[in-house]
Amino acid sequence: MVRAPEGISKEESSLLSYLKDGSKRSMEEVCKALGIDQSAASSYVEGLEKLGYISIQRSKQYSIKVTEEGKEDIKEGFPEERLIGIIAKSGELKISGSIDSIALGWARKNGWIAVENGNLKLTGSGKSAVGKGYPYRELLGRLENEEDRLRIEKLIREEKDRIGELMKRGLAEIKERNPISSISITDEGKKLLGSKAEEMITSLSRDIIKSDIWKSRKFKSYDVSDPTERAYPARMHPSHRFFNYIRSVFSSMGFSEVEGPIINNAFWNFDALFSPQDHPTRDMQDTFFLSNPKEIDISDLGVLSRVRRMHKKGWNGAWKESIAKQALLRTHNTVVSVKNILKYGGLEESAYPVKLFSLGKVFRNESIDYKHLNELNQLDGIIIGNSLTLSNLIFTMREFYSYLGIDVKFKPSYFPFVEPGMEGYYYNKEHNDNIELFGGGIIRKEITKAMGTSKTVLAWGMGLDRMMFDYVETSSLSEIYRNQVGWLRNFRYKKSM
Amino acid sequence: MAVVTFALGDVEKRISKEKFVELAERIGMEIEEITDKDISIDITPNRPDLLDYNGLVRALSYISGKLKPDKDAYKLKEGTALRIKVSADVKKVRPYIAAMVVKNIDLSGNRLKYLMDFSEKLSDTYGRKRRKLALGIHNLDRIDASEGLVYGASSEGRIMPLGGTKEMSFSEVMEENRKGIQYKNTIANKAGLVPFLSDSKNVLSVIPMINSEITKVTESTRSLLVDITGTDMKTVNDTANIFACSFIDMGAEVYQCEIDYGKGQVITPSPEYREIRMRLYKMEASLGINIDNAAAIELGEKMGYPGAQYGNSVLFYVPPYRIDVLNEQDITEDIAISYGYNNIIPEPIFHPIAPSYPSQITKLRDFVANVALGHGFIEEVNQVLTNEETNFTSMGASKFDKDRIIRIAYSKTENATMLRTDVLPSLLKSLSISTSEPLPQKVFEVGETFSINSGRVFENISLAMATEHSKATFAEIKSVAESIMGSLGLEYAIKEGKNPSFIEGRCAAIEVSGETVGFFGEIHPAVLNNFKIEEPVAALELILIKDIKY
Repeated sequence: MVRAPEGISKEESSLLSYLKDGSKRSMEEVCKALGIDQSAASSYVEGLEKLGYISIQRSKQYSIKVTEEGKEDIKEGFPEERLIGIIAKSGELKISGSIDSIALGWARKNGWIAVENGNLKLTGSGKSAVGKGYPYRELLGRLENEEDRLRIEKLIREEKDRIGELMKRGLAEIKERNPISSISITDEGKKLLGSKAEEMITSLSRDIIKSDIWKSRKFKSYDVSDPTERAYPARMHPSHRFFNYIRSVFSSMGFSEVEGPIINNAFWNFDALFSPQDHPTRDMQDTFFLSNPKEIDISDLGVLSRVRRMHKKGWNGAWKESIAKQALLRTHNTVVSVKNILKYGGLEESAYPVKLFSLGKVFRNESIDYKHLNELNQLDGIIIGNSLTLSNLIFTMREFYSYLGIDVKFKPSYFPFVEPGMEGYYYNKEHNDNIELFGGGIIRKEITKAMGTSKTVLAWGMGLDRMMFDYVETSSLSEIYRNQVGWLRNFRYKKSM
Repeated sequence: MAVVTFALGDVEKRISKEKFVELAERIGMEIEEITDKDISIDITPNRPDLLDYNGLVRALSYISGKLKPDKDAYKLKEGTALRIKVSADVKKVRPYIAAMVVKNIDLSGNRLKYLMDFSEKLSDTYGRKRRKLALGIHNLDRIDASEGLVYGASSEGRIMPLGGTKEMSFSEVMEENRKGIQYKNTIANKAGLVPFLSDSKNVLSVIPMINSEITKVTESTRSLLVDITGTDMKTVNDTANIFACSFIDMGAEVYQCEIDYGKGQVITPSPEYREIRMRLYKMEASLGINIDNAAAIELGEKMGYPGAQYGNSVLFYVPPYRIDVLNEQDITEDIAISYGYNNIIPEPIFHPIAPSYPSQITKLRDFVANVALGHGFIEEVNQVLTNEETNFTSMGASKFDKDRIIRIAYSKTENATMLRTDVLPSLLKSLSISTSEPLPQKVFEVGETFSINSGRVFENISLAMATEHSKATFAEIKSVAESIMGSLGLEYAIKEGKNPSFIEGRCAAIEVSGETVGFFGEIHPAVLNNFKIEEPVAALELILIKDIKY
């Protein structure tokens, strides 16, 4: 690509002048004529070539380079040299797995060692090789010193063979070089020489900014299409960002956020929520029970006796404290809600309604696939107050989902801790199906009574992970929590939030 | 939840497929699948009566208005049909039984299949896989009831099992018969007692495993003996009532049986309507709707409750099959269902303006995440379920105290055996699956960590950061660590640290008030090897909140 003529520096301009008669020149000649070193000359020459003012002819050359391992061996000696050094000191060496097999192989090949009764001993030539110059090492040393000047074509046969062995051992490798053989000016370059060469600013510096140089000189311009290194942003995890968005919506509706422990006993997770002790969800197959700790004591004895009474009456019969003490990972955040009914059930009248939500991890003992995780995120909300109605809950849920642009519908459903119970869903065009959004209802009187309050409590719970599919471009839930750095750098948001 | 399947042909004799779906969803049941032949529907666990084809048809007929409830609908025939003596032995293992005799029943078409499915599903869900409750359905004509029946328990006895060709001993049933193997653990007891039902000649069933081939029921059977056994008398009797209603709805005659418990007699079934008095203002206050008595009665009828005005309130008669209805709240829900949830007008809650607050943990997490992001670290959110291999062994901690970690008793996936004690292993795991990505890679996570000491559980919030590239050093992570500590406003000291995950002499401990709260330094190459990470990593692990006070 030919650039505007003003795009070259003073040095580049002198180089063009030197080439103006049209003859081909070598790099050595260029350096000498301009009084600059090889690396500076290369950068001017390559820059001008890119701009199309000169053309470069290159040749192909092969040279041999010593590898890092080879350099070490030059310093430390080859393994076989070290091996015979060790044998020479002790006279013999027992064969064992700890001897380097490469050293052993080469010492044998060189005829330096022999085996006697399972021990290694030096042969005559071995003894004389100790401490003497080793042709392989000397050759490798020469390669290191003469690197660029040494040409394969000029080596004798024996040396070529040895180099072959060194390369096999990974101590040397062939390097291809394309040095510049000659340089000549192009027609574009000749044209440019006609216009007056200017001094230009290549890189901006403190000196240039502070002085007035920038007022009198032009800036060398860049090729804006030149590729640059990719930059990656430090980003928030999409789940953190999404959950904060959900938090902000509830917060805008007047809800405060509360937290509760992940590790609970069955008492709070199940019994306090009126789930009968023989209910199938309390099975090992669905819930993560713990082996350490096995049990967690029920510290509030008043609640304990009221919950016991609730079960004995409601489920007509046995209720065992030992079953309620079993330690587990919470299966829903309703456990946080019920604890807060206890905490906020007896405030001054003016404090109501109390509006709370909790957002955090819940656990299900599930087999994992692209849709199912055993560690999920849930939001649970409650409103505690006087004369609250199902109609109030419907209003609250409708407001929340309309903020997200979702037209929520309601239908009856069953959860042991609410009555009436409901489920929210919406019709998804893409799947031609109703997608569940939340479950909720009015907390049963039996439960609020056991928590020591006469208030009405509206409650709901919603899974948050699947909702992320609408916001984050991903193929699966597990991808979001796998944290592959490339994915974290490059994933896209589908919707703003 | 339990899924029941009915033939589309049977359903469509009464009602269109579309109407069936609409009505079923209106009463809160979800359609699972519709094929050319069948319709499958998901029944919530509070409504065992709907696992029955007759029960579901009944409920849909009420809600559509086709059928009006009648509190005299479930009348039994006069007289007790037979007597069952309960032995002392069976009281030790499975003490309760209810039974009924059914005559003039038509089991042709799919009727027998629906009856068996109902019995199976109910025993599985409401009966907790037959442990709490199980049913036996017998051909009455093959039973010699002249001297009554015996509900007993014994370690010895013989039966010709259903589908079998030879008699087996009880122990053979439990070792060889498919149902025997499946359900024997539900009655396991030290004495080896196995419950059974017998007439004067034969054992009719080994409970709750298998019936006898002798009393096998077919589509042409016209008379039945139905027994319901279990560990709880109310459950057993309630179930008998549900079935009695179903048989009567099928047009059959149901007779009671006398259960002789020795100390007293119980007559089963007794399908009676219960009265619940509803105060309308309470119901209105709970649902946020306005209805008068007449409207309430009409709404109740659509859910199968006959109703009558009673002073200022309404009396609802709860059908015997509605064993889930405990009190006013439950009727209120059914009135709401009848009214239609989507017909309820949403009403806002009025209250004074008050500020809302984020949680302390959310505030801290956001604050620390912002600082870490500012340092160019990408945020991760990892699972807290992990295993000893990732959390300890790979981190160079070959010895660890099992009593100090939160351990899972049983997990379906083997990679979840405990809760993580540190966040850093999660970060190294993510770097290990990202080796093809350009360097530097800088990651962090603020998340939950867990431990336990002498039975006391600690839930903490920790921060970990890791930087991977060819020049990642102690100095780099130290600068970041000091910046984090500074922005948290904490007085801290940096001391020489000892931690097997880091190179010795290149690890520092962070102390606050003399207590070590974290480590940072260069990760040991052995640890990098374990995670197959090929470039140097410098990292930090810091407890932000130790032992969260909720």
